[in-house]
Amino acid sequence: MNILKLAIKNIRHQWLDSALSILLLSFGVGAISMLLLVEKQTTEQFNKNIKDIDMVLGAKGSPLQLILANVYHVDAPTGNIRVGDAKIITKNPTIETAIPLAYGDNYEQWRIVGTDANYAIHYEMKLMQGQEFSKEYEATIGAEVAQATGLKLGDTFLSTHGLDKEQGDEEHAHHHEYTVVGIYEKSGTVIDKLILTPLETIWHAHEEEPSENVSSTAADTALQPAPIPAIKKGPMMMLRPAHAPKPEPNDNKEVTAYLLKKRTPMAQIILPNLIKDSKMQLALPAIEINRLSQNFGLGMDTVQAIAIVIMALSFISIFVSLYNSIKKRKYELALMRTMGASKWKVVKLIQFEGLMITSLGIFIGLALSRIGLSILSQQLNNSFHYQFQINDGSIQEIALIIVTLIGGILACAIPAYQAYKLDISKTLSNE
Amino acid sequence: MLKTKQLGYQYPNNKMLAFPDIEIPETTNCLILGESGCGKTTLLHLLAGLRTPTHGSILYNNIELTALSNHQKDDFRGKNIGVVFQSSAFIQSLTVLENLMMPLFLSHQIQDENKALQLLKKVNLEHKIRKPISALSVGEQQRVSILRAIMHQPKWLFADEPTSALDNTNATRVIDLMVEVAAENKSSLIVVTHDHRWNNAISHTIKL
Repeated sequence: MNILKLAIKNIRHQWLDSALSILLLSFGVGAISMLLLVEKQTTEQFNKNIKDIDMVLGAKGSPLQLILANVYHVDAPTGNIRVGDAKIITKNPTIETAIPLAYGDNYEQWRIVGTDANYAIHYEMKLMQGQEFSKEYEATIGAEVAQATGLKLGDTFLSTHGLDKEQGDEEHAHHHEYTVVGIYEKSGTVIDKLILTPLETIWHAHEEEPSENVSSTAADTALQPAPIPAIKKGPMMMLRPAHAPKPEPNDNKEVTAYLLKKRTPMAQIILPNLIKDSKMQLALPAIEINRLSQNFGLGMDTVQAIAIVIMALSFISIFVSLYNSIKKRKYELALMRTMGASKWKVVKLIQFEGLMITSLGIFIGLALSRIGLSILSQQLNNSFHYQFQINDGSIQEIALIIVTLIGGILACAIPAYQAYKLDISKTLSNE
Repeated sequence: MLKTKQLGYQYPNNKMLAFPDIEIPETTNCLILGESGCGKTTLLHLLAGLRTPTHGSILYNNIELTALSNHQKDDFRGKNIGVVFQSSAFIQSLTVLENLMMPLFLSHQIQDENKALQLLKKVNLEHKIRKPISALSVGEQQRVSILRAIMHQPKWLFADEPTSALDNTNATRVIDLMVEVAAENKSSLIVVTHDHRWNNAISHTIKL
C-alpha cells in the first residue's frame, strides 16, 4: 500500500463521481487544445503562403476569392486576364516581381499550375530529386502530390481539364502527357500540393482545345482574338507610366493571376487607380485574410468560451465530488490519523486524488483533440488537400496543461484543508 | 508503564472532567469502568493522543505525550498505540488485506502480508483476504478491526466499548480474541467499557 495506490483505489471506489469530473475536464481541455492547434496551424499556413506577396492581380470578382484561389489554391479562380493588359501593373516600376499563374487542369485532382521559375524561388523551394521544369509539358511536383499520387521522377501522366473539386471524367481529359522532371522537398507551403509546369504548357494545352469544352476556369479564352486593352481608351491613360510597355508576342495569352511583390509602399496607392476601369482587380492578401480570420475568429471565440465554461464546470465538479467524499470519508480519514497518518499525509491523499482526476482529464482531453483534429484534417484533405499536423504541440498547450493542473489543485484546496483541520477525536466520537 | 497525573479536560461548553491518576504497567491488561457520559471515551482519546488534555500529564515510560509535537504524536501513535472502536470502521475502497496493511503503511513499517494471513486464519477469515471490506458481515468486520489494531504490534491496545452491542456469545468471542492477541503480542489491553462481562477476563480495574 502507498498513498498513490490508495488514491487510485478511492477514485475507483467513487467511479461515478470521478468519471463525471474526468469527462467534463477532458472535453474542456480537448476543445481548447484543438482550437489552439487549429489556430496555430492555420495561422502558420496562412502566413507561410502569404510570404511577401503584397498584392494579387487577377480578374474582377471577390477579392477574397482571388486570394484563396491564387495564394492558397482552395477556391475557384475569378477568371482570366490578358498578359498584355496586366503589363500596366506587372511592368510598373513600383513592382519588384510579378509571378504569373495559369491553371485550369488537374491530375487526380491535384492542380497543375503554369508559372515561371520565380514561383518556386519565392517560396524558397528545394528540390528533393531532379530539376526545375524548363520545357513545355515538363512538371516539377510538390511533395504531397508525389506522396499521394505515387508519381516518381521520369513518370508521365495525363492531365484532366478542370480544377481539384471537379471529377476528371474522360470527356474532359486533355490527354496531354506531362513528364515529371523534379520533385520538391516538403516545405509546408502551398507548392507541396501543386504540380508546376511552364506557362507555355497551359497556353499550348488550351490552344488545342475547342473553346466550348473549356468552362469558366483558367486560360479558357486563350484561343480568342485579343481584345483591345480597355485601358488605352480609359481616362486612366494619364496615370500610365511614361513609357508604355512594348508589345510582346505573349500579350494575347491569358493567365489567371499575378502574385506581386512591391518595390515601394507607393504601389498600393498608385496601382489600383491604373486598373479602375479595367476587368482586373488588385487584392491585398494581408487584408483579405485578416477579414477572413476575423469572421472565422468570431466562431473560434464562441467555441473557446464554451470550452472554458466546460472546464470551469469540471473544476466545480472535482471540488464538489471531493468535498462530498471528504464528508463521507471523514471517519476513514480520522481512522488513518489514529493509525499514525500525519495531517499532511491526508492532505497529500486528497491532493493526489484531485491531481489524478485532473491529469486523466488532461490526458484524455489531449487525446480527444488529436482525434478531433485528425477527423477535421481528413475532411479538409478530402475537400481542399489541406491537412493538420496531428503530432504537433504548442507553447499555449503547455500553458493549458499547467493552468489546468493549477485549477485541479485549487479545486481540491478546500477539501484538503478540511482534511487538514479534521478533529480526530470529535469525528470518532461523532460529536 | 503508563502513568497519568491530574489529568483533566474541559469541553468547549465549559464542562470539566477530572480523571483519577492511572498507573498501568506494561503487558498488564486493564478495565476502565464507568457509566455512560462519565468521559470514558474522552479519557481513551486523551490516552491515545487523539485529543489534547487541558491539564495534567500522560507519561508512557519516560515519554511525556502532552509534550510531543503534532508530528511526533502522530508518529508515536502509529508505532505504539492500537485502537479498536465501538463500531468498526474501514477504508471502504480497500480489501480486507489492504485494510490490514494500513497501520503498517502509515507507521512506515514493512508491509508483511503473511502476518495478515496468519492473523486471519486465527479468526477463520483467511478465505476473505482479497475480498472488499464491505463484503464482510458486521461480526466479521469487528474481528478484522481487532486484527488491524494489533497488526503493527503496539505496546498499548485500546478498545472503546468493543462488546456493548453484542449478544453474550459474540461478546465472549470478542473478549477472548482480544485478550488472546494482546497476550501474544505482549501488548497491554486497556478496555474502556460499562460492560461487566469483561470483569472475568481482566482483573485490573479502574473506576471513573
